[in-house]
Amino acid sequence: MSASKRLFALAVVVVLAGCAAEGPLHKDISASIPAVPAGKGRVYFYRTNTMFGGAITSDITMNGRVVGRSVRGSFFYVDENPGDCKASASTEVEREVSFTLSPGETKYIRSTVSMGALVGRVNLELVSPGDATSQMAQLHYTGTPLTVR
Amino acid sequence: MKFTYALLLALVVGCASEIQRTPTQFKASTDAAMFLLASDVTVKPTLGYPARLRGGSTWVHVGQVPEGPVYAIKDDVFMVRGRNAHEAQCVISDGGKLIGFFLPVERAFVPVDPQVQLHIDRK
Repeated sequence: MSASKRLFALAVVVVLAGCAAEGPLHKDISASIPAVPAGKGRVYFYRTNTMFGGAITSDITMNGRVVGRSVRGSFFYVDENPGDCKASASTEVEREVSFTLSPGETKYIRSTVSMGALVGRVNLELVSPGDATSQMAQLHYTGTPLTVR
Repeated sequence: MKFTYALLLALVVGCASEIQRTPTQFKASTDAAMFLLASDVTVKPTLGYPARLRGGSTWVHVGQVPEGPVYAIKDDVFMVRGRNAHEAQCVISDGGKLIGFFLPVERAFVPVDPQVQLHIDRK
């Protein structure tokens, strides 16, 4: 393989893999995460540490406002008023998930990357609490800084 | 040429249709009747991706739409997917046949085709 081909292959790997998130691990800070405020619901957003499409990122909006970013290997949460909710992410197309949120309830949304025409697409899906908490243990927190307890 | 084929494939794969739905009227219930789904069931909403109802899941009666009684999954999440994903509840006839899905945010009904007889244990 020529040097130029090796360089191209390396570039492809870098683009596909991207950079993982930085921040404390969920398992190290879970005790510092405050309880859901009274009258609110909580939504966790996370993305597992998979290589495919790792360089693809997207803002995540919830009910029309940007609340964070989909980054490989990261999670954050948002406390929201109960009711109908819509979360979305967009690259070349916008993908949305709609769900209801009750007071005191916690929901989990996982973002994944799928193949697109020109760039990868970031998809959002609801995940059961059991699956989500086990998948988030090794992910990095990218939300607002927490007060260590 | 190969690149063109790959691009066309990517376009086709990425262009999922939104699931077909019609507005409906939901009336909440408080009787909290439940049933246990005995085995896995995979059904297809109109134009959407197949959705899997897990065997062993518990479903609670939460209300009624003109199309039938509405049941929500307990301690878990259930959604249907087309271009976008939607939290969904099941519309199930008194005889245990899955008629379709109710989307609580969109307040809409999504029929399944064909309707599926579920094996359920009423609690």
